Amino acid sequence: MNILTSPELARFREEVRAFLKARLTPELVAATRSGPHVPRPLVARWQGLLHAQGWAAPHWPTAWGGTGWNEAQRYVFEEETALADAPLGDVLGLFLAGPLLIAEGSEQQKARFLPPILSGSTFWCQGFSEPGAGSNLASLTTSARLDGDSWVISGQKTWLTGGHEADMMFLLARTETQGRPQQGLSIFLVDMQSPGLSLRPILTMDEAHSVNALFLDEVRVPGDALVGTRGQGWQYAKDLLARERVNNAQAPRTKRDIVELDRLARTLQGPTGTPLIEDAGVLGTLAALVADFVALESAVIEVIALQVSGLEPGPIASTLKIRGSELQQRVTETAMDWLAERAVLLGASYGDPSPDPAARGWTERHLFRRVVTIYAGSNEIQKNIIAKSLLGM
Amino acid sequence: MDNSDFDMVLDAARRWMAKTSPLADRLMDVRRGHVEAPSAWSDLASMGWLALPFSHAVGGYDATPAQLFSLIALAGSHARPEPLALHLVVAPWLVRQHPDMAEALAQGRVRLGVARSDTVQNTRNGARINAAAAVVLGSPSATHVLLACPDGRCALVDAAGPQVEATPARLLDGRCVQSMQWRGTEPDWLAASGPSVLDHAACALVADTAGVLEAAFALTLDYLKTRTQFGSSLASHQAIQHRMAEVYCDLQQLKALCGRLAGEMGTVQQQGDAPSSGLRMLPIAKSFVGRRALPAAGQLIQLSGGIGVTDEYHLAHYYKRLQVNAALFGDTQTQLSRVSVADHLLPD
Repeated sequence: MNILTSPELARFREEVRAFLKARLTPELVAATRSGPHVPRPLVARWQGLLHAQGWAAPHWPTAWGGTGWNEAQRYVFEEETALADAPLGDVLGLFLAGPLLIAEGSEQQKARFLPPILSGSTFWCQGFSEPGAGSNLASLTTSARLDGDSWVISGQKTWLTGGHEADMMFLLARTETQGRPQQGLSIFLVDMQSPGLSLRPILTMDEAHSVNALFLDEVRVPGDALVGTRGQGWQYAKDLLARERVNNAQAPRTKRDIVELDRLARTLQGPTGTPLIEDAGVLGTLAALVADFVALESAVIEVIALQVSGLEPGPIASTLKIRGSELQQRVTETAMDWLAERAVLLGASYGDPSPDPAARGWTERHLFRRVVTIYAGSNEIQKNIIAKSLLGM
Repeated sequence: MDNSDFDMVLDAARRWMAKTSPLADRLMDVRRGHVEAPSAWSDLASMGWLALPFSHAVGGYDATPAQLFSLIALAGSHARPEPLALHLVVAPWLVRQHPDMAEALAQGRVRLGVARSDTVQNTRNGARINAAAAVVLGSPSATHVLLACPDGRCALVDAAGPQVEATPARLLDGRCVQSMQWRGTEPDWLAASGPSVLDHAACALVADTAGVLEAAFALTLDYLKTRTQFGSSLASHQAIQHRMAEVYCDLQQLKALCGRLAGEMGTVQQQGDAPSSGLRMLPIAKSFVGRRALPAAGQLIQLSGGIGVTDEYHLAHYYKRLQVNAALFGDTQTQLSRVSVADHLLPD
């Protein structure tokens, strides 16, 4: 018995399964399975279905459209949607922009921006990193200066996931040049159609366009585009990234991938024509992945139990991010190993997937997942956090 | 048992372990091995610890598995020689079938060993057995042995007497054990369903491992902050910080697995042999000892440098204890072969 296995949660799980069975379409499932990037129209359609059910943003406060579920219910929801191959929603809007606005935004900002995130009609991107400010985010140089009652922003941003599909961006810029680097930062809400703003696609190693570089040349935004208090942007960003860390264990999606890997081992044949799963080495590899997943899941459950009892997990979440992202990579590495030749043959044109249905999705996920140990605070940064904050080193 | 009451038990245990044959003293004379203090069993009984896991109905204190695991972890952190972990987890399993033994177990008059035997044969008249066990984990003064047989059954047999031949031996970590042979011994076959005696004993080793690794981690962290080379503390170097962060991740997962395993053990005790109850986490937690905890302790030795490989320092003894914990009662590969997607990812 643990926090995820109570009879109440079992009933809740059934409710989620019934919803998924009724509303999740084969087209959405196929898009989710085909790789890490689901096109915006399909994500929006799924978000609309969730919204109609009242489940658009389970983790938001009920006053802004949340479901009132506790962390355990939310985890079960994520687990079931992952196992059913439902798309993720607009992660940037639901997990970053939305919570940022709920915590720090003005009433007008909340009223204007939160409802379209729920319905899936507005998508968001994040303008934090810069070519010269990655892990050392506080060294960023994009500047915002007040000119009358509007702000004028200039600089360069990078790694904008979904920037080319987004309507809005939350952006971290320097509003002060005095004091420590952390002190002079502020967050702005920027319309992606603003004059002076231009995007350049960055192709990632999976031959896909999901991230972008952004150039801001005297982009003018209204005074009320500032989030919260001027100069408090660093604190807001830190709070935001800390919330992201528990989420970034990605345990439910990894569970789904291991289940899929098990299926792959039953489908593929070894050199002697017998199913791969009958090979002792393959079985051992699979068992080790399951064991390491359950160890991760157990640590996640402990954090959820803390949250359910109203406590903040704090830097311990860094351990989840490290182990969760490593495991994500190991799963697809294993699939690539088993698929072997079938995983390295692609269609004739750039961006074409593998012609082999067994390999489809694995190759793309494998290549794109090299990023999971780097983004959301690289694993090296997470280890620094553990050493400094938890171990006093 | 109330947690506040149990905290007093833990405080008393901390004092007793620091005073009675403490680890530091045992390290002063490593050739002697980790030997039980002469007063150990009478102390354990008089402090009531041996009765902790039994229900009120049979005169016990009804401590929960989670509480017992914390006491076991404490014993692990002191690398205690007396088999407290085994008693706390296995004795209540025995008492559920033999309530009449509770009092003698609580008083330390009955002392259990646990062993796995590959060779158990019925003698010609059928009622007696011949058996052999290479490792009987438990006190050298054990009175009874729970013998896990190849067919899955468990026999309670005498640990001494004319039909028993006991050969003293040591475990890798310096604890005293025995190899045993039984000839024509009359077994008491235990009709238990649910998780086996070996699985219960394996749980004890997992709980012990959490205490051992945590103590080894704390010791190393302290050393790294104290030890200075090239004018700065070892802890100030990022290469070292990152390796400690890695071990910390393993330690957190181990503790989380222990917590979940203790929860399952509580369910097993409440529901008895109900089909929904089982120790699903056990093969994962037990294989974690060999797959993660032991290599993590190896890292701690590496970080400690030369002192880490000497038999005069705690760390080597922690490492060797983990090696024992990994090997006994279902080794790493055996436990891993019980782990599957169907059983552990999609149980419902």
